[in-house]
Amino acid sequence: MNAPLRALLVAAAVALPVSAAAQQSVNPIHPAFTPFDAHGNAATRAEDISATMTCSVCHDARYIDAHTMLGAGSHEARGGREGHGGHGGATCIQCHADQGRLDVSPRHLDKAGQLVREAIKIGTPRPANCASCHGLIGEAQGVLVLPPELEGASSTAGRTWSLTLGEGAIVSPQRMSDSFLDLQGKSALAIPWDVHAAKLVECTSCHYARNNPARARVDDKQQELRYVTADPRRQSTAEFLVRPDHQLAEPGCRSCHDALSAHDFLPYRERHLEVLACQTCHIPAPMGPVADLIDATVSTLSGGAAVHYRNVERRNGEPLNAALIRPFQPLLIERVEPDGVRRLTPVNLVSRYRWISGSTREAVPAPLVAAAFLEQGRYAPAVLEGFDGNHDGLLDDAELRLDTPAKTALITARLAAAGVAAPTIEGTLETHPLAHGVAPRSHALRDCDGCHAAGSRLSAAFPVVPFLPGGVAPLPPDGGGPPLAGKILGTPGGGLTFLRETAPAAGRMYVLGATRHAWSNRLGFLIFLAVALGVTGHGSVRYLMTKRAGHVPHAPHATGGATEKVRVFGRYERLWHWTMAGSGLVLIVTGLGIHNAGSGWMGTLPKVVLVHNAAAVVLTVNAFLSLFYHLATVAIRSFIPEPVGFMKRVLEHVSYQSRGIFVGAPHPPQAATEKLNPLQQVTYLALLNVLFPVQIVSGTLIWVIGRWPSFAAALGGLSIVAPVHNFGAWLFLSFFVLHAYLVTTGRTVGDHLQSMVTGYRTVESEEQLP
Amino acid sequence: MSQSLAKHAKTRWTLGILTGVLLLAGGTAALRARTKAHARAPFEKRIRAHFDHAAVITEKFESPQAVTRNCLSCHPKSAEVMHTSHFTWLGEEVRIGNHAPTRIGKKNLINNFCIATAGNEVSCMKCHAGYGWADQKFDFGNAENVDCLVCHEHAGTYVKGQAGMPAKGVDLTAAARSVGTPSRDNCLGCHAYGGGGQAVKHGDLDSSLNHPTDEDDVHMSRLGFLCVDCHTTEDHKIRGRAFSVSVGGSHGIACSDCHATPKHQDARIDTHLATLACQSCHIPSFAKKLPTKAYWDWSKAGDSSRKDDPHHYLKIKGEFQYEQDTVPEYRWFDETVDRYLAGDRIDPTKVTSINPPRGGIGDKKSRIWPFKVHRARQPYDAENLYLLAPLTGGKDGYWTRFDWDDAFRKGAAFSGLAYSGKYAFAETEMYWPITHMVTPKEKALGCTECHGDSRRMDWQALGYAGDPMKTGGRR
Repeated sequence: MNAPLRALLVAAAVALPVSAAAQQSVNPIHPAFTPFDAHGNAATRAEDISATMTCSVCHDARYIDAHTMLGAGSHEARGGREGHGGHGGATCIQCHADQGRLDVSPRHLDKAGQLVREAIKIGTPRPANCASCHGLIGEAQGVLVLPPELEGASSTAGRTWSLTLGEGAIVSPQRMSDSFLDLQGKSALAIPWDVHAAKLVECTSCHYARNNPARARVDDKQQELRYVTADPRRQSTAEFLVRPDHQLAEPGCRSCHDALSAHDFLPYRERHLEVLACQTCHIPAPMGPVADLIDATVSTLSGGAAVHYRNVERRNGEPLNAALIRPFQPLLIERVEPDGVRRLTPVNLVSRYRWISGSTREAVPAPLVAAAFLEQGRYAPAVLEGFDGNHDGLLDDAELRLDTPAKTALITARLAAAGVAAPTIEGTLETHPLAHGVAPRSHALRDCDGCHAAGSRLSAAFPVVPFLPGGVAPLPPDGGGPPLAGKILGTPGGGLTFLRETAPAAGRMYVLGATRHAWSNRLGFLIFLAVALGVTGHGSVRYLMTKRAGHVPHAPHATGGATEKVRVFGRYERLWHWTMAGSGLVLIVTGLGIHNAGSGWMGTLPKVVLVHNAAAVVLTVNAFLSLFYHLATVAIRSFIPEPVGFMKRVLEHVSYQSRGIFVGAPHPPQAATEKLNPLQQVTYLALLNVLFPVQIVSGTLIWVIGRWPSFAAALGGLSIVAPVHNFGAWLFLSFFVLHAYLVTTGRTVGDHLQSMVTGYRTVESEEQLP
Repeated sequence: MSQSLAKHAKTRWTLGILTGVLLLAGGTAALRARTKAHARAPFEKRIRAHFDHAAVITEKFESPQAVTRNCLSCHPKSAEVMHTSHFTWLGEEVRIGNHAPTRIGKKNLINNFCIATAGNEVSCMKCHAGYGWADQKFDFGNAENVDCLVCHEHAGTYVKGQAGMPAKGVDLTAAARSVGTPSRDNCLGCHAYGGGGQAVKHGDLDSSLNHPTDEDDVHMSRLGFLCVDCHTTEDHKIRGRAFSVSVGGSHGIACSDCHATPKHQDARIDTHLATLACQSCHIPSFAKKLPTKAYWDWSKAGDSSRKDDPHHYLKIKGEFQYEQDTVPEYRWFDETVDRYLAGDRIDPTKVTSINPPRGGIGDKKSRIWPFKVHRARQPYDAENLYLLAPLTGGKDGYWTRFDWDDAFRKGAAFSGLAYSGKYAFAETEMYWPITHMVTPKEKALGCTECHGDSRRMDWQALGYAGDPMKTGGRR
């Protein structure tokens, strides 16, 4: 498509929704009133109307003023706020009147100077009212396009577009595939931008006045009421209309949704729902243009800030509507949600840069900054000379940056010349938790590997800012920034990137498959490696020595003596042993599968966990049955070392294993029915008394934590239990290797194996002789 | 002794392990089979038996009746077509208003397109499944007059002309050799072109259904349906009811014939089933690809100064308005309609509904249906106050002579209704329930498309106090 045609199309599309935007309809019951200006005279122009003077005739402006939340643009609002109006500087009219203004042209006024009924288009704020500041909030009609004001929007106080630029949300009922935007995989996105908007949940459905009697829920109180589920006391509608509380409610998802009943399919749903914000899975990949840097230290040709996006791919000068927008993968951080619970929440980080005056810390007004860059609608020659790296006479996204000291010095000087005292660059790092633009459940994140895997969205690096304007690092605003646990690293482009710490820490989440506990994992692996190397070395030496000697030492036929079979292991002993071996092997293999979930070599995580749990039950039951067997019979004895001469026998065996076995020395004497040699006894004592209980208990705890979150809280989550289980697993694996090898070190290579399979051991007859 | 015991034990072990493995394999197989059965496509493409008639039809046909004779020689039962509405152009006997029970159909009804067939057979019978219905002398009892080819030929070269006879130059032999189960082309050849042109009448039937995209029609694209997969046939009686020519709902086809228990993603959607026809949400718009006629003003006909343009003005027919990708109009409908019959008095100051849908908000059997409403200004007798059926086709008809008075006089001979000599034009409307061109479920209507600020539904007109999302549905 050629450029003019595209521009025409964009223009046509932009024109559409503007005309279609319906906000307030005629209010049939609001009393007729006279619009006044700030001096109390009847206003003749819409701009002159003073909301304070007009509305406070009936509504209690002082109460409203004192009960108004400051909007997202609180800093600008505090600094540049004029007269009445909390909520980021907005007035009654902006939020409550059609198109944010009252039309006082003579045809709308009656003889008494009051607005005629048809002109009283006021009421509860409609989405379009909110949209004028907060972001793209679409309507059901018209084709969704990005308005040109979206870029450089931050120049107006309070008008932050934070829903779209901050969260990547476009709160529209329309299907993404029907929009004008170029979205990656658009044809498959036959889903609404926001499932709530699609179901006619409006902004005010959630963000309502807290003392609105029509709202049965009193969210703040509900937490504190001990014996009742709701407080039925209400003020009257009339009282409310005079004094509406403008600290709007911000209920979480759970105030309407019963998460537990909706997630039957989810393994360990109690745990998942306790540690995950709903948004983590239900806003998996916003498709709105989301910013990482809003740079008001420079001025675009339109006089606004330069906005840099995370998920927009466009050529120079390409309109946002024609640029390719990719799904934005948010940063997941642990954050205390409004209900006081710490959960993993998706956020976006936006760095907002601006010029401030070094002496007063006041923001430099946008027109002044624009004047430092522009002259008569074009870049000043001096600016062009300093910034235009490729000398094409234009400043593209990569050039319009204060990324060198020379550029910064140039603009500092120009601002100083314009009368700004000690111009300084200030960067603020804002955290925007994702809360809007919820995907329908068909598109919620259901992929376990999305989190439970190394390199998942939990551990992937998150670019913070592409470059640092003026070399200044963005700082979290007072009130604390995101609890970012990890490293902030510089990038080759001069920006910053965040690398999450994957090791668990006290009070932080341990995510199976993604979190790596350094010492337990490394030490465990080292022990396993040592054992594996040890047996390999031992075995190799044995093999070589045997080859050199040219005979198999002490094979019964080698000595030529008579042999006989002696029963060593009973049927049950063999059964429990092989059950233990089988379930243990399954546990180790599936445990590795869980530990390395996401590599996908074993199947989906829930299946692997299921097999792991099943094997664990088999192993545990088997362990207790065999314990009973050993206690009830005298079989336990063979595990308990004979104290008399124990050390001597240990030394004999050690000496045999380390020396004798290589040169064909005779196996240390052992009664034919003796099941374990002293080395094995020591090993098994440790195994059965320490490792088994530790693994069974820690494994059970992991399961319990997944099921009963209150237990999890008491135990401090998985951060202690999981590394212990992990370390134990490494020891188990090491034992397995060692055990399998030691099987071959009997009188003959197959001796032990044979006895455990058939129950009989072949011994040389003469040994039976006294 | 001990050895035999060990051997014995071994056998048992082996048996045990084998049984276990078998059980496991059996269970897995059963589970897999169940999953597969569940995952099967909702509509399994029918295997349609086809016998290649080229092998048995070798003679050269001189007349179309010869073809029919040939068909009947092997399929004598197929003469039953003579008793179906495709041949008689009359339905079963019904009672309408105060009229005596009567059979109605295209043969004797008045509509607000080309008005009436009587007297105009030469043109209208182009779509009659028979040969030679040129006037009232046509022999409905002669099986040779049945046109088998129009529904069964697959050659794609068979075209009908005046009085339903094959057009000049049609290769009857080739057509006869190609016969098989009716294809989309066979049905659409008439049903997409009713009213004198492509997509004129129905709004939800046009030739785009020959090769539709998913959005045009999910059944005929994704699932490969033919017309006859829903419009099943017994004794050549084809299921389906068009409310333009019949009044009752018997022999109709319902979505629920296949979609017995529709499961929506939200229980709140399921509550709509009591008040909405499936079509209301699943066919958001009609005439998606090809514009359909929405308005026809006969009173403007005959003006030779205007330029002919099939979508705006034709001298023989008057002025038109066409609509494309149109939002339907919604009405309560109990799946029966009233019917204007020839001779019924009209009130020319009001809009006359030719087939008003019955039902209302108070009737539990009624549901809200989407309709194409075709509006027209058509002639009526200014003294007798009934709609007139002019003679239009042929060399004496209005389309040749452009003399209304003359056309009504001649038309009266065929309709049997006296013409007073004074005529005028009155507003009429005809209701066409929309039921074809079902869109894929991803594109079905969502909440906001009817509730909230949308104007798709006129709640007051439907009898609600306001948006039922807020004021509550019918009780």
